[in-house]
Order: sequence, then structure tokens, then C-alpha cells
Amino acid sequence: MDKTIHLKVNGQDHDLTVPAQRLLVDCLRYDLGLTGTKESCSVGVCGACTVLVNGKIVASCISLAVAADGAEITTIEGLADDRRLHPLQQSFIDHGGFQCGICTPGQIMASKSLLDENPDPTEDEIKDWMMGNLCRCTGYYKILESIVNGIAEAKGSAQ
Amino acid sequence: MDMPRVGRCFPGVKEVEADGEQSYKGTMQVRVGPVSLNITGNMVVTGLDKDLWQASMRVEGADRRLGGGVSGEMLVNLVDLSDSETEVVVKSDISFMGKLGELGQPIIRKKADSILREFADNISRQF
Amino acid sequence: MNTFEFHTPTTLDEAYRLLEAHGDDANIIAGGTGLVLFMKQRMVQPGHLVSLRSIPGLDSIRVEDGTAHIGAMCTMHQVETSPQLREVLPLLGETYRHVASVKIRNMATIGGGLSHGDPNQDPPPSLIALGASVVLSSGSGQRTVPLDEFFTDYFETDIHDGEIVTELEVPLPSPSSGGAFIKFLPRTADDYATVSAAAVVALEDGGRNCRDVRVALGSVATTPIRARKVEGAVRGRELTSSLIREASDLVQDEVDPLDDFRGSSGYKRQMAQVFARRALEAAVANISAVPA
Repeated sequence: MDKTIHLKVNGQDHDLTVPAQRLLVDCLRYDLGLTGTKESCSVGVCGACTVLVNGKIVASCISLAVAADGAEITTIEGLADDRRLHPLQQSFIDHGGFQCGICTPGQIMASKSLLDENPDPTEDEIKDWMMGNLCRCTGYYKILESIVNGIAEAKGSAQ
Repeated sequence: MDMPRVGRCFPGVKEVEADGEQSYKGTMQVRVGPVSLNITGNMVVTGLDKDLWQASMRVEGADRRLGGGVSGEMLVNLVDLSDSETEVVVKSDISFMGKLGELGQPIIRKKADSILREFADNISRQF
Repeated sequence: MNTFEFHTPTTLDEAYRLLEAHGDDANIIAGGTGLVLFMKQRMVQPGHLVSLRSIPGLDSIRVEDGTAHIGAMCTMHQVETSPQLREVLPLLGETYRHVASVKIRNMATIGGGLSHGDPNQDPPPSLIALGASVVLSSGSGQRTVPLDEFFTDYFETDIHDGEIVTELEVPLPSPSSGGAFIKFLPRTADDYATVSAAAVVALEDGGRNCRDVRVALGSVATTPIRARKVEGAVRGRELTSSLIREASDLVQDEVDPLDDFRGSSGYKRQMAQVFARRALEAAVANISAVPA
């Protein structure tokens, strides 16, 4: 059964009519064309589909779009400020934090939300927080390096 | 054998009625974990031996909506223990298919045990 | 996934009416981390989903008269990070932070998790050990069920038709008590436990003997279980390491684990004993005010 919902995605308002069983990841990718968010495991484990809903990371592959009615959503497309990449995005490029890239939007959204909740995390806190984001290429060291440096960079530019 | 009466001793059985000679149809509600099925099916008595107090039957049923079902053979045997006691021996070889099958054997085995226990309690209360 | 009608009642009364109108064809949805997965696997195919997220007031946390009242729609991350709860019930944060990953804890609610009735979840052992209860509300009133009576079978609970879990009540532990939750995770950090165990012990006033004790385990049966034999063996006695070891052995008679890819039934039975012991030892080590 269709339902009309309102989403504010990356600052833009959208009124959408979607089937009740529409998953948030599909709504973002197919209804709004925001294909930066990836779907991989489809069961909320791997973290590829991570987006921010009202400032909190969620697994969009097990979220119903209708349950997000009225929410503010941020996807990887919403991170860059005008044409300047977010320090975390830049850091993933500078430190080789990805190879195939499927997990990267999720990695960056999850680390962005860590930065929002804890601007000065220890390395252990980063590992603990990022535990729900899997990568099958890099072996994690470069991801950790990207996040550590990206967070330091973000802190520096905020000051 | 009064099949409708025995049948209703099975936990979850809602209806049993004759559907021909030695053939019955019925509905049963089974819940295993998160899966709740309304199984519609039939049971055919394939053998009756009054001397041995033994009956064999074939059961088959399915839930259309969720896609899952059971099929198999059952052998029921009555054994005289004393003037006031009868042992009911039930041997069953049942296949679980579809959504029920996906839950895996360990949990199905536990559920089957608990259904049989309840069946035995109901039988001893009824007869 | 099958199609369904998604309802967003704004009051509990409206939710009760929807549940009554649609009966078996309706499911309550909170965070959806459990239910949406079952729906994706087509294990559950409801015609109606009654969402609780638009009902105000179900996500508050207040501590009064020696009890923490936690709204059922609080997310697990909210409970994990609540400064108020960290102060009075540190075991809650310590337990909830072990559930899956941050993104799941941001979605999953405490009431939804308990209603789900999955015997492998982390919170139930700690909540049972703390003596917590759930408040079940329906059109005909409210009742409170202690968590050690709440889980009835594999994914089955004592929630009656038309009832909604609205609150979790956790009594604050007495002074000179300690608690611990331990999760055995041989696979990955965000996995369900192979075996989990929680213990809360309280000492007699000014004494060394155990005044009260609760031990509970997860992933060792079709429901979370309370290990009453273990409790009985240590209650009223001094909690020496040899007594704890002896008492923990008794847990093997209280568990009935399912074989699965996290371990065989026999292995989990042995691990239940090991982890019951470790949980008791850690609870004793966490006792805040040990008399000199």
C-alpha cells in the first residue's frame, strides 16, 4: 500500500509516494537517485548502507522509508561543502582508505557520526565505533589511518 | 478410531473432519519461534491392525500464505501396561519444508517434543 | 517483502484500537531491526504494521523511589550513553554497548528487543540479574511482569494479544552490591553470544556473606534463563572462589542449549558453566563498598 512521506535529504525537501515496504536504501537510490549509498549484506551487518537519520547512523537496508517520514537524512552526497570535500572524505583519498570503494560511503558516514558525538576519540574508541562497517579489501589499517587523520584535520579546521 | 477427537488433542489443531473413508482433512496452527503457520492439509489412515492395536497414517499439509508445510508418516501403537494404563507409542517421520524448515533442525526437534508432550497430556485427560 | 498498511498512531489508545481491529494480521513495530529482517526473509508477513514511534512519551528515562523507569521506545544507544543511568545502573550501559553495532543500537529499542524474544540477545541476562520487570499496557489496563517470567519459549513471550511493552522497570541495586555481564564471542565483535552470563550479588550489611544473588544466562536454551540452583548454592554464604566454582557447576543442569553454528549443545553447556563462574567472580570484584 502506498504512503506519502516527507524527507529532508541533504538539506533538500522531498515529498514522495512510496510503497509501505520500500526500504530506505532503495528510496534513496532509486526514488531520489542518490546512488552513493550502497547495499551489500542486506541484513544490517556490513555497514555499506549507513546513512544519518536525524543525526544518528542507521542501517538503511533494514529501515522502512515510511518509518523515516519527517526525518532529516544525510547521505555521502551531502557531506561535501559546496565543492570542497569533507576532511574525512579527503583523508580517505590521501591515505588510501579504500580500494573497490563499496564500503567507503558507509565508512565515511559512520566516522562522520563518531566525529559528531565524540570529536576527540582514542584509537580504541574509533575501532569500537567502526566495528559495524566491514571492508573486504584494505585490511582496515588504512581505513583507521584515514579516520584518525580525517578527524584530526576536521578538528584543526574547526578551530 | 475417533480421529476428530484424537486429532483435536494435538495442540494447535482447530478442525478435523472426515473427508472419505479413512481420510480426514483439517487445519492446524503451528508456531515455531517467529513463524506462525496456518496449515491446511489431510491425513489418510494407511493401515489399521486391531490385533496389534496399531495404526499408520500419512499426513500432508501446507500454509499457502507463508509457504511452508509438513509431510510424513506416523505410526501409533497402543500397548497394554496394566488394567488401568495404556502406553501410546507414537513414531513419526515428518519433513518440514519452507519457512518451518529454514528454522533448522535443533529448534524443530524441541518444538516437536513439546507438541507431543502436550498431546500426551491432552489424550490422558480426554480418555 | 509483502505489502502492508503502515499505521502511525499518535496515542496508545489509538494503537490499542488498531491492534484490536487487525488482530493476528497486525504486528507492532518499534525500531524494526528484528521485524524488518523477518519480513525480508518472509518469515512474518503482516497485513498491518502499527508503529509506536509517533506516540509521545515512550522514550523517557526517570529514576525515582529506588527504581529506574525506562520508556520502551528508548533506543539501546540512548540507554547505553545515558549519564543518569550510568550513575545508578552501570551494568545497563555495560550490557547494551555489547549489542551488535552503533547503527543497530541507534535503531533498536529496549522494548522492541525484549518483545522480540530472541534467546541470544544480550540485555535479558543482565536485566533478569538486576530483577527488572516490563510494564505491559493494553486497552484494559496495565500489568507488570518480572523478566524472569516474561520469556516463555523460542521467540515467544508473555505478551498477550493487544498488549504493548511500554516501560522497563529496573530496581536500583543496594549499596555493597556488584554486577557483571560477560559475553563469549569467539567469532566477531558484533555477533550474538555463543553464551552470555550476568550476575548481580549483594552482601549482607557490614558482612561478607552473600545476602542476595541473581545469575542469568543467554544463548543456552530456547529462552534466557535464570540459574536458580547456582544462586541457591551461594546465597547466605561467603563468596569464596571455591564456592563460586562449585556453584557454577550446577548451571549445567539448568541449561538446554540449541546446536547451531556458534557451538554444539554440549560445548555451550560447558561454556555456560565457565561463564557463570566468570560472571559471578566479576560481580564480586565489582562490589562497590567491601567492608574492611
